[in-house]
Amino acid sequence: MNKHKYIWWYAGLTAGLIISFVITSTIGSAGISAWTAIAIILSKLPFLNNIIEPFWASMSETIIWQVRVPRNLTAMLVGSGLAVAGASFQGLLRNPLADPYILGISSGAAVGAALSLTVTGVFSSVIFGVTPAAFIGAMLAVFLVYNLAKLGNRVAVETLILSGVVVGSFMTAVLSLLLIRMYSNLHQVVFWLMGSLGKGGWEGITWSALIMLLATIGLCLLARPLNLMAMGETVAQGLGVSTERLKRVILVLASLVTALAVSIAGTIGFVGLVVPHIVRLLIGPDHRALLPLSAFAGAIFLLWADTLARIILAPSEIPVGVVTAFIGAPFFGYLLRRRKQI
Amino acid sequence: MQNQKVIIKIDNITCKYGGKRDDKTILEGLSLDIHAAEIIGIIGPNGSGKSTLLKAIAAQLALAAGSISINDQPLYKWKPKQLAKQLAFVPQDNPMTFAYTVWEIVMMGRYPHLDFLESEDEKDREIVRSSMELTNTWELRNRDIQALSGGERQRVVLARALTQKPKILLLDEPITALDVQHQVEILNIIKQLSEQQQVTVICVLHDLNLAARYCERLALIHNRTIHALGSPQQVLTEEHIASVYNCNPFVMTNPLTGMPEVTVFSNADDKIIGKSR
Repeated sequence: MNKHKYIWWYAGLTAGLIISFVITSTIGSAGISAWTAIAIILSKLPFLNNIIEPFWASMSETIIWQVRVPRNLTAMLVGSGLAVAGASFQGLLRNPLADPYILGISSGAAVGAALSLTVTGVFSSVIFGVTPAAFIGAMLAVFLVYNLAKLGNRVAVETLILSGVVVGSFMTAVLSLLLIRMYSNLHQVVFWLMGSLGKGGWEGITWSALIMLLATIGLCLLARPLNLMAMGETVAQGLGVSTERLKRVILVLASLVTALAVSIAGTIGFVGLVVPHIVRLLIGPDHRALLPLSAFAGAIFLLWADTLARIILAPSEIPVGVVTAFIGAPFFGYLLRRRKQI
Repeated sequence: MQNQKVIIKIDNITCKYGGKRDDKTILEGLSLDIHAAEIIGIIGPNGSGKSTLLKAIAAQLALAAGSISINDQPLYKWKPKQLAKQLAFVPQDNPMTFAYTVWEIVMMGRYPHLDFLESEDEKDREIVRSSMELTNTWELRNRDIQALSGGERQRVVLARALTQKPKILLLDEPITALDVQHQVEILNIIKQLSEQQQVTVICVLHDLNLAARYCERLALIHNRTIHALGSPQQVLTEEHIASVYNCNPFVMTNPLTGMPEVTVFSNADDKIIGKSR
């Protein structure tokens, strides 16, 4: 009712995000002190770069600025994208169990990535990189799902979920077939499937970051009609929403965000399912606040999950998807139990 | 019925469902003029096409033939938001998947009046408040919709429809799931609206006696078209009911309301009322 009732949530989560970013950038096995790390990051900001005199080894600067900062930015981008896409899918499909991968995007991307690895045999090959291959696979899967569900000019959301299952299972079968024929790169593919943010550097996030950001903002702008869609399509239409058009636009934007996230970081599970639920539990289901706040919460969640993935078994890494599921699954179970009592 | 302004003109419409091979004609050659500020009840057996007719009027169903005009403008020419300012549609089922508050749900009724990124102002909040007071939902405004009873939910959904400030209200079985007290409560609100704000109400009802009591006209749908149309006295005759519902009705005049009162027996129950047909 109060227009500004969310303002403290925005303020808190923004502060949380900045603090998390700085802290997680200083954590690691290279033995760089927190103050050095902060100074290096600050020295890269405009206006401050003239004031701060470098007192650190150039090796430290490389680790912080060329490795950890872009990696953290990727984590924020992927985390916020997956959370917003998940919340949008849940609202659009009126299904609290929906996640960004419900329309077969993850398995499509996995087939694309595995194909790229089988054909070229080299990670990040020049012939056809894993990232574009995964993106194409993901978009292809969504395209198939949408057209399978389309009847005349209409797409029923129930049919959409079912076609997602169908295409997903088919893609999984293709993936299994590829995997048993893949002797040399099996480890790479499995690692990719479980999700990892350790690739890339600055190059990995430039153009896709821009598109993801724009699509995420686009989804946030569609929050009001999305609220009406959550009331059922008949109601939404009765209130003046062009439901078929809205469905298409949201599907395209959410799929784009998800496909880019998957192609950058592999299939990181649970962020897109759990984060929207947690935020909804805290602030309610109004998508006008839910979508942007989920973006913040998703970014923070994945920052910390990735940091854990880096340090638990340091110096070796575990896939971040393992960490998110490890934290996410029990937490979600706890939420389910708590809801039951209400 | 004389000299009354026609607000909705339904002209010879045919409605079909289904694919290319097995299409099913639900309504065929149906015509009906709906007058401004009247309450018209749509009655008929299950599957006779009552809901289909409402969907057709709400522009949620493509017509296979014929045309529907609202204020002399064909339905297909209306922009969705413009139509939603004229006409509010309360469907039979209202899925409540997420725990919106009652206030948030009623405020959704302002959607057609707001531009893409325009936020609600004091005037919108005032309208929400007045429709909530009219439907007795103001006390529920901070409650979670999922925690409400069926009767309360129905009032909330009605409040959202009123918040659209419509000239026409389409209601698909608004009282079917409610107990007697709430049935009468909802119908009284509707009647009050029609009288005070000149809202035209088209209402699908199953209860013939309540339909007789609250509607000025009834349209009895059978065999894909209108079987009988007119005042409750004209429509609710033993002959009409027997042929449409395939049963054995007994109609008398209710001494309190002066309206027809229908008691229905099965065809096998002849002996109970001592009638022979």
